[in-house]
Amino acid sequence: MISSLVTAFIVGGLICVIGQIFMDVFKLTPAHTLSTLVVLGSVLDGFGLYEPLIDFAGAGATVPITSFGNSLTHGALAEAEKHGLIGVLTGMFEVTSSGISAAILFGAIGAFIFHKRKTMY
Amino acid sequence: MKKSIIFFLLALSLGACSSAQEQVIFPSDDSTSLNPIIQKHDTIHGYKSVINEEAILVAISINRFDRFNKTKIEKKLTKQIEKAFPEKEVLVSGDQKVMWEVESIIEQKPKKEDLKKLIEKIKSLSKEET
Amino acid sequence: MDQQQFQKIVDEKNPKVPYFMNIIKAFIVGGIICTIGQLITFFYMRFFPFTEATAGNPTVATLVFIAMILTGTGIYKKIAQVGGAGSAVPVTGFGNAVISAAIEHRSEGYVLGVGGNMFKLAGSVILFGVLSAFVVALIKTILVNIGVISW
Repeated sequence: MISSLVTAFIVGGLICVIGQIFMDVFKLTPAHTLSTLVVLGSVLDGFGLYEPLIDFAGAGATVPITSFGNSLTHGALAEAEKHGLIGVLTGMFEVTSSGISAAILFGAIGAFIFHKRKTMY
Repeated sequence: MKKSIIFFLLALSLGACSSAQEQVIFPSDDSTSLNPIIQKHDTIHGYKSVINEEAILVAISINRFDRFNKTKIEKKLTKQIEKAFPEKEVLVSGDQKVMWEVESIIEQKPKKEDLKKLIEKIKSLSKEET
Repeated sequence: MDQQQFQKIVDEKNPKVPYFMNIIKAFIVGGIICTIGQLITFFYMRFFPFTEATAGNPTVATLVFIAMILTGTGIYKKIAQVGGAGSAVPVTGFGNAVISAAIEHRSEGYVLGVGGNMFKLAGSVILFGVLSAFVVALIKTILVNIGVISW
């Protein structure tokens, strides 16, 4: 239990460090950084490396935005394995990322509840 | 200050790795051919197992750094156990949830029919995909 | 004043980026968010029928919910000032980008304001996520079909 928390901390922290390096050293904007990380997660899943990382680090791998690229690719690949090339397309439409649906839903609710103020960084 | 936190966490993570093998099987008399199979794997530091007439459930605790190969270890062990118990349906899982469920079965000590239902429940759980 | 001198003055005026401190901060803040995520995962596994493989989805949704509360109350902005990428890279950062845009543009109405501006920042993440998933899956499928690699 405790070792799971520690690995989640370390792996999650390291992924954030990669993001910080993109932002500071390569001078990318946050939007560019996040997009790059999503692509990175997707490519890693293409090599079959992201699922082992989730097995190893749990939330340390599922909470960073890289897991979004992974889940999309994973859905597409799972369908492609069953139905061939057509599956790549149908798989893309079948997968939903809970992160996006949650962000849309809670975004709408948040806009309803909270008053306008400077909330962005 | 911050460095000391990191060192503390590292020490914690290293300390958590070294725990002795832990084996529990329910019902306990079926242990004969399961023990030697699992003991050969040094990637596993403990297991808990539930057996009835049709199925055998094995929840394994995989060492932290061997968890990268979780699916491979599960598959390999499933094959080996299937050889030892050819007439039974085998489920091997390194999932913490399966471990907890198996533990709760061992604690409850259910009757035959209840046990069958509980085993079915765990099987359907572990088949679910994201 | 030639180009070199100008550059020198610019460098002097710009504050130096504290690379090391930023990285430490990102590591700790990002690590803490992921640890909270792991605790939520354990909670869902313990009390609901979720396995390690399936508990990720409710965990992410819960974290985005927490991000909504923190964004609306303005706390997330403070976390972001400390954490940098450590607060932007976890899904809470994605949630913060969507939710803060929704809150800020509410005065323009729900359709044009909230609906239209929600994905101003997060849209690129979705675009590149879907696009790269498509490309990666396509390449891998083709490679498998011509027999270079297997699933």
